[in-house]
Amino acid sequence: MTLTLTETAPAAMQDNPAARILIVDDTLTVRLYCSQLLKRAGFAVSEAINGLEGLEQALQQRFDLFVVDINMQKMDGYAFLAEVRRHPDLRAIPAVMMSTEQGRDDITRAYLSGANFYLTKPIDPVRFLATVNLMTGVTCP
Amino acid sequence: MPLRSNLPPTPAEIAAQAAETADLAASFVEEARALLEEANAALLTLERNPGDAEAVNALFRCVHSIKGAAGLFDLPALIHLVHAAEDLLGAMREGRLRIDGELADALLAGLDRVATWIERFRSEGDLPAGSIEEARKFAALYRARLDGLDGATQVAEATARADAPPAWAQGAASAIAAAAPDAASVVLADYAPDEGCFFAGEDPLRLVLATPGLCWLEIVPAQDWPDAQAFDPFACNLRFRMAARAPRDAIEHHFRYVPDNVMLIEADVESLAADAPKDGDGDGGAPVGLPTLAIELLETQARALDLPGRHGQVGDIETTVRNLCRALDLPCPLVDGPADADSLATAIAHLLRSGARKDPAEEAAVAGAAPMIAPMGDGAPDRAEATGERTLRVEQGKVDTLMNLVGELTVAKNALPFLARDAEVRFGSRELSREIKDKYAVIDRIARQLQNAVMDIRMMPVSDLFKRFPRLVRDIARKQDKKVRLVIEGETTEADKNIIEALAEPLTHVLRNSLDHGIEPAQARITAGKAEIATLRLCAFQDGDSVVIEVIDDGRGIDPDKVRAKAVERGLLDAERAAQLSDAQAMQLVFLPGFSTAEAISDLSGRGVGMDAVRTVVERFGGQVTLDSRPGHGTTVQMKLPLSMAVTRVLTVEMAGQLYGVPMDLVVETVRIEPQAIRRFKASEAVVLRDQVVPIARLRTMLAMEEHRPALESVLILRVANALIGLVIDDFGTGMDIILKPFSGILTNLSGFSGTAVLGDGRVLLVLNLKEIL
Repeated sequence: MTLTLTETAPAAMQDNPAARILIVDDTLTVRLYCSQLLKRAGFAVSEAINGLEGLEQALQQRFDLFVVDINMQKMDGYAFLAEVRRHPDLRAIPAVMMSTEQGRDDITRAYLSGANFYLTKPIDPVRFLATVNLMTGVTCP
Repeated sequence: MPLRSNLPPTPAEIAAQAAETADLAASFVEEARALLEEANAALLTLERNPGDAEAVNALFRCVHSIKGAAGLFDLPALIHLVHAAEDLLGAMREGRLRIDGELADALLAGLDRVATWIERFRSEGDLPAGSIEEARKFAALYRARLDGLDGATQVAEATARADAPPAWAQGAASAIAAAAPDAASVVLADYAPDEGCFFAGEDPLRLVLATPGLCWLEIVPAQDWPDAQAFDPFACNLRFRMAARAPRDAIEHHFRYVPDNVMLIEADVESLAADAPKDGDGDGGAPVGLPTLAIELLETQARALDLPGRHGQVGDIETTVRNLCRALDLPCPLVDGPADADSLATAIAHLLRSGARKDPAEEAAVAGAAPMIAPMGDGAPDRAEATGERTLRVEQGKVDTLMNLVGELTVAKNALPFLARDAEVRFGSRELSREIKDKYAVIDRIARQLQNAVMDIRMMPVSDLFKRFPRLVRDIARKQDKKVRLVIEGETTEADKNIIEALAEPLTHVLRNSLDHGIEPAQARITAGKAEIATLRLCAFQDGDSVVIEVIDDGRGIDPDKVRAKAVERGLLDAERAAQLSDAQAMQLVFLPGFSTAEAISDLSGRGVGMDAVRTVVERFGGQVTLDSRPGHGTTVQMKLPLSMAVTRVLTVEMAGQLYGVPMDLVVETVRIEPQAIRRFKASEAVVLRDQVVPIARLRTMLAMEEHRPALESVLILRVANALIGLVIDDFGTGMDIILKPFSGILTNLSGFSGTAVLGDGRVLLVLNLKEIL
């Protein structure tokens, strides 16, 4: 019944994250999974459960990348990205949209809203991490 | 050579670790359960009110979230099922389809199946054999409803499955046989990816090349190539036909995310016949060796530049391009300072032409790169903080331990009054005695607060129990063709977790009784001049130290004469006694073991357990159950249970110098009466108390002690099973809180006592089980 988050990234990485990622997704399991992946890879991760909360956090602290789901209550991923692209402080931050939607219209809409890349769920962890590495400018050792 | 452990983990390693985390699976199971419950509730709401857009959205969101989370695990069947359900709900959301009873049944059945799979996944870590077939059945059921709708997703012809080898395989028979010379049979697969699959991030060729045991492959256009002007480079127009030497299961598993696009047939190699030699690709899985992800990313940015609505805002694209160069250690073709769309387009084109193409080894390195640079200050905010969660999950065992300790504390503190008396009587220090009493008052108060606080942790709203009933009521009502409206009231009322959990079964039984025997079919109700739709109320409220749960129906009620007759027929009592019972008393006969008023035993409630089972459970938790009914108007079953069960308040009574405990909740009052006020009626005794005749029982007789006739009789007036009874004892003691310990070992079967408690001065108190004695 007890839930603990394990982070096994080397201590140095936790203190000095490679980049800060904001995950905006309404599914706890997906957030938990992504944040575990990213934290193990040395990123600092924040989570928001919908676009509105995501926007609130994005305005409070600096992020290097948004990882955004589409279907969420209150404010969906499209609306979140549209707001981000409208805001002078946020518009230069890249965003990956990640959803189970596979229809062409959804993906087109994602790019129209301001996404820089689209990944489909189920999440391919290797592809996901590689994408995050590339988009945040993380160099290979 | 550096030690592996010194290197940062590769994404693949990280992924493997993350997927193995039990936390994630546990989180998924818990979240999926909650989502399923929510989905069930939304579905029921929707069925009642088919136009409820809010409910459709909620339902869609739940199913969608389950699908998203399930994708993290290897659960193809589950995903296939929820995917189909999601398509159906999508059509509903767009208003192309309306809910009806049949559709609700199909969706509920699907959700149930998913629920059992989730439980199986929790215990076994996988899904049962045959789950894929079952998922297909559900998917077909759902698709059948979508077919024929305007603009509905047409089922790919590929889902049609034939047994005979397809024409293309027969045509390529010799090539296939040559590629699999020593195999008896091969699996033939025909894979037709969706036209828009590239947009879904699928890579059909890569998937095909990684097919286990792939030995023969043919790629053909799905449709004739159109002329250059109509050609859409983003549409997949390919069809893959292959033969593989691997078990069918393995192939099925390999294509588990695109089951609708693949047709599999197992074929006998000999029957395909052979002579032409052709080299096969052994076990397949050729890696694609280009930095495809970087190219993909760059191409996507180039396309994004041209999208309408950008209005020259390209900061994010610029960041992406610069970061990509940094990650790949490429010189960035962009000059310093903000870039415009044109310079970005040029830079991307340049990168695509030259730098980005690297060899596979380096591609692997990119994929394997863990971030090493370290900008910026403090760490990420705590997860709980980020998501606004304010709850703490604790194992129940820990709370139980805490509760036991509080219990011990309560007992231990009770030693202080004894100590105070000793101080005064034995040591003659009145001052010390008062001091001890003062301190006792403080400790007592704190102990009480602590007890309340711990008890509060164990308190749960009854809604956790009630929320399962809308579905139950709906299903039974539907099955029996009755129209029922379930009204739930007071669901925020709280009670001890154990009590709530123990009530599930009896409450289910009472509800089923109402639905089976109480509520009439719609037609009968109309004939009787009642509302067509019956009302079933499920209410909870707090009453002092008790929680009361009532099930009230407006059905046909219980005929007391029928109850009397049935009880006599069952030999539960003789006809004469039965006739003497008041109607209200007769009703209570249904609680006797072996009683059932059902004319025909239904498959739902006639399972051998009757109201006596309900009574047993309720009484085990120190509660009472009563039934009240008006023929033709309905029945009310009331269950009254203590709010918490850890600490019991008893009144001590003295018997021949021994102390016994009587549960305080049974005690109505204590009286002292003159012996002659007790009158004899044949073998029994009674006393008239404020114009009410109260039967008398003597505890000495019951405990087989010798008789004792004092000048004044001490009588405890008790309410047992809704009737008053006077219990003659030697003397009254005081009331106290005790931790009741049930008997264990060879004393378990000792009747007449419900357990023991240790007193503050070390004496053992036997607590009487009066319901049993009387």
